[in-house]
Amino acid sequence: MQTFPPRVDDTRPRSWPRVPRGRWLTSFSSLGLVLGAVLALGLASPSTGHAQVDCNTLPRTVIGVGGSASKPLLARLGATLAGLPDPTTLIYASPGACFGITPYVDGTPITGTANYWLPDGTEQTCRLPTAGLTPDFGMMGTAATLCSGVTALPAGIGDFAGPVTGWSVLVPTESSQTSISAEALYFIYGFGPSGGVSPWTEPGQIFGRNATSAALIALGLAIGVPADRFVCGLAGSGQPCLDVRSNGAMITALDTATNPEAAIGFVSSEVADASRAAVRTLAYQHTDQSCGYWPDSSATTFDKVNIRDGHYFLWSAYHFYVPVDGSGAISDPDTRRVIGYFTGETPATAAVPILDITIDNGTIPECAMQVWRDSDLGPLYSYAPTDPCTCYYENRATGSSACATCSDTSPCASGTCRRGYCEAY
Amino acid sequence: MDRSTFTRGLALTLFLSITALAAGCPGPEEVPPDAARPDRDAAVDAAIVADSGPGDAGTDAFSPDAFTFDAPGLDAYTEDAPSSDPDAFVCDDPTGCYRCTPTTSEQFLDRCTSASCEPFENTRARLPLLREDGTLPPLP
Repeated sequence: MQTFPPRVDDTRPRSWPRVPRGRWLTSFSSLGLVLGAVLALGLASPSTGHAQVDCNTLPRTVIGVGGSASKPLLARLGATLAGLPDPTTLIYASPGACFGITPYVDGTPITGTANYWLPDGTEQTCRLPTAGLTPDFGMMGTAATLCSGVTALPAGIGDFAGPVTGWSVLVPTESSQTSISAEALYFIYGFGPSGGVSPWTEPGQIFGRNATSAALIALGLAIGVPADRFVCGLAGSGQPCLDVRSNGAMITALDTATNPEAAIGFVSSEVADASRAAVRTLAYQHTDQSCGYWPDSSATTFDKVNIRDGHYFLWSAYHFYVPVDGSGAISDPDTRRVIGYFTGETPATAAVPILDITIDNGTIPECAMQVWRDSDLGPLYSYAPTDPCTCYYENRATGSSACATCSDTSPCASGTCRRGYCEAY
Repeated sequence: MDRSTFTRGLALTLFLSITALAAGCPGPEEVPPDAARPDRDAAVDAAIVADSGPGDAGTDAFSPDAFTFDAPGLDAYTEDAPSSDPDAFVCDDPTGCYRCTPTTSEQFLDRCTSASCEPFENTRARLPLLREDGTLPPLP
């Protein structure tokens, strides 16, 4: 497990703070029942129209479950791994972030269907065993202990930090709105249209998720609305905010909103970036902040500079929940290799350029961060990664970098040559 | 610009420069901040440590007494100083951003930057359920 490189006075480990182990929880029945129902109905991963195969007939499978925010990132890695001479099939079901921990907490197996990807990136659907199975990993945009009923990780499950995702508050492109504050979101998602925050006062135009969503949990932490106090529910529930159930569905809901000016929602920044033709991210002004900022340096760029330097508050690092052995290492070798790409334990190669895969997805590698936090949406502190990649990141994400280039024969005048650029150290 | 304004500005600039130098402050951070320059933190961390040391000259220079320094044109600025926090006196940019190296979440969030931003007015006109004192009511 990789550890955080220290800043001057920082020796905190890169793995998430481990919660006490040693006891299995007993109150997950409701979450488990929902998981079972969702997966059994095949709602987790709608078929793409191809003939479905049994997931366990695919070569060298690594099967995950969790939120839809991370699905685009896993799709990119899955396609890459599928194209290797000795392919690995990365399979993922995305019923909601909190389902990334449930199987390990109450033993609920995952059933129904899941997705995997061909080398060209085409998404496929496969059938999970009728009797269900325990996934190889869970993936969430927030900590498992923020899920309802989960107060601690079960023994034998490790918590591994992945790259960083932003959380974006969105409006349709037709909207004239450009910014939002934590206080305004408190009223919108804590009160609904009766919160009176113009123009977001029309029933049926406020879109949200349920309490199993990492996007909702993260936003709730930032704006002071507990996950179970969002006024969101499924259609017909009578709730003023519609639970759209996935990041992808949120884009569709906003894009097809009957009153674009009154419509608002939220997704991961990667999903928002991939949908800029349909939705627009609002600048977010956190409590006591003097101005609202976009995840990027402007509404039209892709540099994520405001996440990386601490101006944009809505971000968190992905969590991987994986069965581990007595020494804390991931038990299954293939799963260890796949998760290791994200944690740094598995070296990147030309065939699996995990840094490029991460950056191209709009996700931020730890090496490009200048701030960090030890808890989701918690306090920020200055951060100096041991192997910084700020220059490489900026060039990859935006097509240019102000940093000098370098090579073995052309050393840096100052700083350290890393990945072809003179990083600060 | 009239003479009194000029004199006041000159005195203020001189005062800030002397205070910063005496305190060992690295000075206002460049705008935009160089995000790829992590050594900036080490430099300012060192300055902060030095500043907090007992008997350090910088500590004296940063004492609240400094704000009563009897210099022409400083009265108005003294009145405008947002608090007795000497760091705030030096680091808070008139535009509202934080000019020094941040150490708290609030300072990271408001650090001076070249990035675009768009304010949202948290007023009762925009948020009608805000309490009169500007605080949030409990959730229903």
